[in-house]
Amino acid sequence: MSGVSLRTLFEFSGAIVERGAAERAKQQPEGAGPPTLVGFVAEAGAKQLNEVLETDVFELLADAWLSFKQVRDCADAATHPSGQDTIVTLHDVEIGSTNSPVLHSTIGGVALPELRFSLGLTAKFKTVQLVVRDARIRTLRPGSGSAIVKLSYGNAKLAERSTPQWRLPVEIPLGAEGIAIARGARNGDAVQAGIAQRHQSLDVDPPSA
Amino acid sequence: MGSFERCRRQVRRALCLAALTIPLGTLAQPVPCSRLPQAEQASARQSGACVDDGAAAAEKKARVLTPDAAVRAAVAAAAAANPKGTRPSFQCGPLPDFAARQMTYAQAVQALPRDFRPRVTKRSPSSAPAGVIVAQSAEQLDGNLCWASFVLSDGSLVRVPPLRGLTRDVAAQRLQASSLRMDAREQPSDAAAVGRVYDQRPEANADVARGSVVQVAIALATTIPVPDVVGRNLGEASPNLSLFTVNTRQKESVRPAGEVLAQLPLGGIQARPGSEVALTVSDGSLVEVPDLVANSLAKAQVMLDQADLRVATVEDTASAPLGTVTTQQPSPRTELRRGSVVTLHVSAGLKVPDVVGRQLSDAQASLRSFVVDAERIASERAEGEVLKQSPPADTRAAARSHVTLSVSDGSIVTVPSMHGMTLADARAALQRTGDLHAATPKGDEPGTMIIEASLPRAGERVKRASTVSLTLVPLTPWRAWAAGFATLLLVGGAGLYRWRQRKPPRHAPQADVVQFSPAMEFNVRPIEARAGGPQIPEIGLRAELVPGRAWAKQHNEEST
Repeated sequence: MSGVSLRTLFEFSGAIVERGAAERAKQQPEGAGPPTLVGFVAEAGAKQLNEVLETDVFELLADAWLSFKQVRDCADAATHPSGQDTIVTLHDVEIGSTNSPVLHSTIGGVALPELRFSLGLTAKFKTVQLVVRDARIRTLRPGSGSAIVKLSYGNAKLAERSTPQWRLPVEIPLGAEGIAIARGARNGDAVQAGIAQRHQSLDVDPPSA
Repeated sequence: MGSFERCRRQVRRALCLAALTIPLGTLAQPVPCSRLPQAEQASARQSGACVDDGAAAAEKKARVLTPDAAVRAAVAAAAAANPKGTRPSFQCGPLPDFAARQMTYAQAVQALPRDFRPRVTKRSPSSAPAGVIVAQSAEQLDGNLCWASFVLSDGSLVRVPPLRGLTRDVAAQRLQASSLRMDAREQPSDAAAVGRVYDQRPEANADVARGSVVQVAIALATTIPVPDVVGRNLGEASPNLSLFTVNTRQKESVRPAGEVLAQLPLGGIQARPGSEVALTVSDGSLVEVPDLVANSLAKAQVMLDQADLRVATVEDTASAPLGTVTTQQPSPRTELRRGSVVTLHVSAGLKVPDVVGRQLSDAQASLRSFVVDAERIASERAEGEVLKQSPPADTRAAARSHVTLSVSDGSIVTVPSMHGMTLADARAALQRTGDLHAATPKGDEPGTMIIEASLPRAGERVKRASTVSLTLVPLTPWRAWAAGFATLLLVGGAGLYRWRQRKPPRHAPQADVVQFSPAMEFNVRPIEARAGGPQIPEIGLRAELVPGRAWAKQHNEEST
């Protein structure tokens, strides 16, 4: 999509995985705790986690645009004829999503309890433009922006990375399909419909509401 | 009938005639011309409806007018029909026609037959002069007398003059002379000459109140050219189109509000008066986007403000000077509604990397987005090493702008310490340092001599390939021992340092000594080290990213 991956904003290290494993051990009931991931296994786990962070940031944030009424209004065919570009300009925008990087581990084929992190992404833009055509967001034009990524395990904060000056492409095409805006839906319906479609394209199960 | 009776009747008749003559004469008194409007005086004087003040006074004295021949003949006929005045079966004789006569004329004894007694029954509105008889009737009074009843004009009406065929100006003059007003309307007509009156209301010769309005229709040509009003304000254009039916339609435009953008039919086209002329009028709601590229952001903002547009900026890494508009959306001369947003891409430049301390070739590779200007300066640093850069690191500069690097030419070297060395060793040290040449006062000295001092002295900076003057002294035994001991110390110290800095070897554990249990912790060792052991279980790691719900907040919003 944009070519900007989540990994450019945050990377796991072996130490972070070890701290996450330690937090998991603290939060698990006595006796049920798995072996702590340390050393080279933690490094290998961090490498695996970093690979899944190669996900496009704007793919994860795609549904956020559907929260804006101006964007949903563009799905009205009566006021926005087919084939006509509509540019929606948003100022002082703050969008984000909370995702869960999960590390599954096995020893000799025996599955160990998973390590489920929580990765919160917050992006701020002074100005951003969305080009909407045929009830789909076709292009993003982000202005100057910043990003903050916070990693936590349960309630324990593990790391935080701030990117005060986020260098982004001037224009981000969203592909042939773009981001669909459900026609005629109410606020929540439009967002849910968009989320469902988005997760379908990502081939993952949408999170429960 | 006796003579007494006849005498009594004649006396009574004379008395009655005298009694009636006095008031009728008063009623039929002509109007002084000075009381009429100036425009009417001439016609009224001519028709006898008024008299001048002097003439009125004279007439008041005379009271008796001379009858004309027709009336006199009628009176004579009446007298012949009844010569003695005895009328056993009396009927009123014919009454002469006094229409258009003044009442004073009818009152004259010679004008009215003997048997008639004049009287005025009423005054009627008429266009005839005041006091003129407009109607008359005969009515039997008693046995031998008749009433001659007259209706007099009060002069309150005027007669509408015939206007057909006259020009507008002449018709207006005629009406003004008759104390009437004109309401002229131009209408297309084939029935009359252009510019002439072809219809009037009321019709000619109708009596109307003084000061009334007479509507006249003036013939226009069947077709006239439509005025060209494109580019003019609607308020200015409307009077020119008064002969047509104007229909206006608003249209979004950058032209000033109210300006006529188009008309149909076009100007100059012949059209019937009263036909429709469709005007397209600007509502002034649009503005034209100015060309902002290559202007500074501040100037562009002023230009957009003047054009009643709003600005949104996006940083750009183009090669334009910092703060300069590189592109704009929409493009120049696009027509937008007032208050719309124009997005400006403003050159924000690139961050200049830190290349100080790096070799010139390496620095040039890092600065490939810029134009590198290298200047070589004398320095003891390695040749080609970047000593200074401008702009400094981490500042922003436009792409393809110039970055000046100060690069060492390596021409400065430091004179090494050669104290205690033999001349051969000193020469070698100077050569290694920077092609320095050794000069001794007496040329080559024997090997039993050692260096005492140098000029320039050790530590001073000199140009590469310079000559260093050496001072030699004979090598004494204690000096030799001291030199050997110092060398031993240096070599021993270096060896000790290396021994302390060594890293312990990492030995791979034997596979059979590694045991796994649910509570074990993995050791710190490379994965490769445990690959061979058949009893080492396979460790599997797999990661996935579960996307979560996205959210958004906004502090300000608008759409275009």
